[in-house]
Amino acid sequence: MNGPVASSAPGPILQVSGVSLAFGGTLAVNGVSLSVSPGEIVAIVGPNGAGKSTLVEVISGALRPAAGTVLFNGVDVTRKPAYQVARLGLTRTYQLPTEFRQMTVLENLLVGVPGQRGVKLRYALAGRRTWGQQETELRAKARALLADLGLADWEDAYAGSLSGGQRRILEIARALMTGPKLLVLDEPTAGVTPSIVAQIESFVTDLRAGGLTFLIVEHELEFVERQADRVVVMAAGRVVADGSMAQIRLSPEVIDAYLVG
Amino acid sequence: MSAVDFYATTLLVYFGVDVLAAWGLNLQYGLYGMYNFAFILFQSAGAYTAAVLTLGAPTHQFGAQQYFAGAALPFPLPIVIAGLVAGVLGLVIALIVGRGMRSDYEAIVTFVIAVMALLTVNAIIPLFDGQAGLSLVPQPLAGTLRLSAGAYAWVYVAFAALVCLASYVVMHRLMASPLGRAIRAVRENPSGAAALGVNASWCRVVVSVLGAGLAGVSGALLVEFIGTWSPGSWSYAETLVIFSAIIVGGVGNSIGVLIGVFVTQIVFAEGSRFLPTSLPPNLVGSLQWMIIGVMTLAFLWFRPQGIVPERRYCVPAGRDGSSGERGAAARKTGPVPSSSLVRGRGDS
Repeated sequence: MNGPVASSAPGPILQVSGVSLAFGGTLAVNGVSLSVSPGEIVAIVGPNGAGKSTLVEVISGALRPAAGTVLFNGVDVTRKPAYQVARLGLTRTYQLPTEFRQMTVLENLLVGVPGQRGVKLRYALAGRRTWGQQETELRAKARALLADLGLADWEDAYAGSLSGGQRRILEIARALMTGPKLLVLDEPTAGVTPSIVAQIESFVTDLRAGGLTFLIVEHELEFVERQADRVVVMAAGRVVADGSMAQIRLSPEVIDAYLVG
Repeated sequence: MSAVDFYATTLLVYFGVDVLAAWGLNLQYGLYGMYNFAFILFQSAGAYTAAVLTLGAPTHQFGAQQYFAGAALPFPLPIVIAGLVAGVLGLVIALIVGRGMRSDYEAIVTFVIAVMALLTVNAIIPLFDGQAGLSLVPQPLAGTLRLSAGAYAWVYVAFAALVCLASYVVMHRLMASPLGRAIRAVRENPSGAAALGVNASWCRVVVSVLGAGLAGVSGALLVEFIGTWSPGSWSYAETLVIFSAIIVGGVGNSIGVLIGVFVTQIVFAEGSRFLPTSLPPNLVGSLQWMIIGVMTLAFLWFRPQGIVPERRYCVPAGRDGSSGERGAAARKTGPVPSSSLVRGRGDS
């Protein structure tokens, strides 16, 4: 499997402090603070409308918070655009897959590979001889990853022609090709079959063994219990509990949040 | 020059000019997904620039024409500068519209810019000579080559063909490169591309400048050949004709776009000239627009991918060092999904 880049930062790889964001007067995220240490798997759970996905949008640079800061590997990324945050090694997937429909599966994987010569305009216009060698190597790497993920036979298929489960796997594969330090998965098991859930879980286990850090927004609590070192519970835009699954099960705030919503 | 030479060379130069412009818009719309209804401005700006840089200082024209900062630069500088000026204009419009704008708003804003530009050009007579436009633009190298009018026209056709060929090579390199791939990713899903580290703003600048530059060169080629420039010929409606050529030919496919220009501009638009002369005179012009409109709608409805769909960028097994065991026959390709730009009937 494609090897993630291990973090060398001594402190938390991700530090979210007092982040707030309102939509039309409604606080979707209200003073949220959390941290993720290198090599850790942290899950964010909570009822619908708790602000989990909005928090992911803020962390990944897609939305700018009204207050608070997001530090990634010691770098303040609060005001950085999403593409710069991704280039620093924080890659996220989406709740609804965002595959590039009219591009092949192999192309989908190659889009986010950092340091491509052919992405620079002068090399692109100079022709394939200036970037072809690197492209060949990257294709081989992408094919190896596709083989690991069971999509080898689909490399030339348009991503838009894949099944829902295959798209979910493609989304993760695409993110892995960026060489992430922190992978943020937004509901990776939503709407897919149990066999795909098992496959995704197996990827997470393997990647974690390779040193990759995860922040996973997830509804499937059994998945969370098996994979997460720590669980952050959100409700109504706030963090109401932060601890192991066993600890949060006993938390009255969590019980309230899930029962009352 | 014989009537046949005149007709054929004029048609071929117009064809080359239209192909260049359509390729430019294809970079913006087909490759990136930009809805730029002000595109004709770039062609017009290129044509105007080439005209004033060929005509010489305004006083040389006995005050009959008014224009800005005339010069008589040697060939091919007016054409090169026309491309640069249009490229800068493309950059300005790309910055005005911005990447955060939704495609429907982008279409509206660029359409408004095009309308405002046409009204402005018509109103500022000292700069653009109003609706009269510019004329008597000397043909490049006509004095040096000393050819007959017919021979000169064919040489110009060859030059236009060379410009088209060079532009095709540049475009093909861009589209097939990892940068082209990143630009297509932005077209397919801007958020997904950004999450993978793709700078959509830079992609937008690249297609804006190159697309507008191509349009500028195309306008320059035309004005240097026909010798006139009139704002009325560059109305915003002309952008729709270029869109039609792209939709008919195949969004995102350069050869398809060339075929689209041939079908819309030569076969149908030009073909309508051969309609019976008993028809009312104004009807022929209107029929051209109607035919192009109906054809565009028919393609959007029945064949949204166009005559030649965008190519599938994949590499045959073994060609780039991949395993020969996995032959092309073993690989699944799946159906072609509908484009994010033009969706067929029944697509969500």
